[in-house]
Amino acid sequence: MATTRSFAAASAARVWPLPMALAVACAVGCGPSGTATTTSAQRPVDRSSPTVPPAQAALDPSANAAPADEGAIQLRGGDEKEIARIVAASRGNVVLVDFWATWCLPCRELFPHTVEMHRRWKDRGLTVVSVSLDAPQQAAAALKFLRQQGAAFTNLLSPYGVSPQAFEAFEIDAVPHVNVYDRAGRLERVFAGGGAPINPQEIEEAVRSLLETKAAVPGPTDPASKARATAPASDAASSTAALAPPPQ
Amino acid sequence: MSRWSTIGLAFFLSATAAVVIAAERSPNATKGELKIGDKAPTWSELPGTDGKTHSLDDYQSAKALVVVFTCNHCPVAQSYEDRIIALQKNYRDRGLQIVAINVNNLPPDRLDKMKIRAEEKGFTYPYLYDESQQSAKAYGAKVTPHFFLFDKDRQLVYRGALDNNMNAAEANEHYLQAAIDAVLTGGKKVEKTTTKAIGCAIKYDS
Repeated sequence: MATTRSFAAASAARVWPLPMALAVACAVGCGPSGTATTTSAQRPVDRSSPTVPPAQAALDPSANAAPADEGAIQLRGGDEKEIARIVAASRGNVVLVDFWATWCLPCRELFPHTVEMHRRWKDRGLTVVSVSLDAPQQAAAALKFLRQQGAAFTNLLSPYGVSPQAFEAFEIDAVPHVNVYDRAGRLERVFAGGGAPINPQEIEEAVRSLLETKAAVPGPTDPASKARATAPASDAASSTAALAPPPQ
Repeated sequence: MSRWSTIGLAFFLSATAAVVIAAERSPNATKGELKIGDKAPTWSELPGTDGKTHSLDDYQSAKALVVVFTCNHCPVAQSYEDRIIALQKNYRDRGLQIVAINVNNLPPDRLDKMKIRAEEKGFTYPYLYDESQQSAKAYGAKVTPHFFLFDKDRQLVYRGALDNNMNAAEANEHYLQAAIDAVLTGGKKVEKTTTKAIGCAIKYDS
């Protein structure tokens, strides 16, 4: 299907995280000084076409390694209240929150998919927040990973250290863990590690589906959205049933 | 049925459902985790790094039994190895037995690598490999390391993390040790029975 953007080939990429990471690192750091950023800027970047053939659409982090201004990627302290504040401030957008840690190998393998979704859909209303559960002493290592990945979105570092309190505060059982909020700020999809591996294609489909839904921003004069806002909160398991698969 | 009867019935049913759902989930528990008071699920003939096979029943004489699901490669699991070794050493004479089980099927976690790690670190407790992953599934283990403490009757009295920080220097709440103390001091109740286990998610193959 012409408009299907599949990350299927990315599953092959996930098997080789280390060479991929090296490719990303080399795209910005290796080679004669002064040419690294030029090299990545010279590669043609297709950011807008909806009909990119599957081969090109396959996830290849090294093709769009890091934005020209690597210094724009930052990491700041942030807790669960900060996440809630960002979600509330992002009404109208779909928000994806990616919980990860430098010590979590599956997280590092999943992260390029998050970066790719943001690159592709940020202009269609996708907000991405990453939350590292590293200890504060690991901030430099976490930032280094984020820059290697080209994580050009909001990056938070948990203040709790690697502790039960961290998992309790963020209400997650394990990392990796991805939460996706709809345009009205409701937590609609939860992808949790600690069992079957998280499937990045499922995340992609969920995000695409939520992007396609134009939600009315809840307001006092809109009875329909007010009814939605006061409906019982769906728990993670049942909310997935509400989303129809994208039309084939 | 009149409208009010219908409303009343709907309210009653949803209230009941809410109570049932709440009862199944305690605030810190991982979904599917063994519940406090549950009996230790049996596992048998698991190969250990000592070249022998091990079964839960081998440890019947232990007054307190810790089953910890852990692995080789996860940095969080690695950071807890010394603390586990110390606990086994300090409480062995009082009847504590720790058994470590790895269910990760990644190459760095398989039995040959486990043997190397056990020797390098000087594990003083069995380090077993469960290729079927059934033991971890039966206990509801989610991450490595995930600790389960059983009393002499093999009833679960504590589940979750060993203490409150991966960084040993910052850990100031020693949950597992407090629970072991309570178990080994006859008749004392464990005060904190559940904490959130921290570590790398266990990758179940199916």
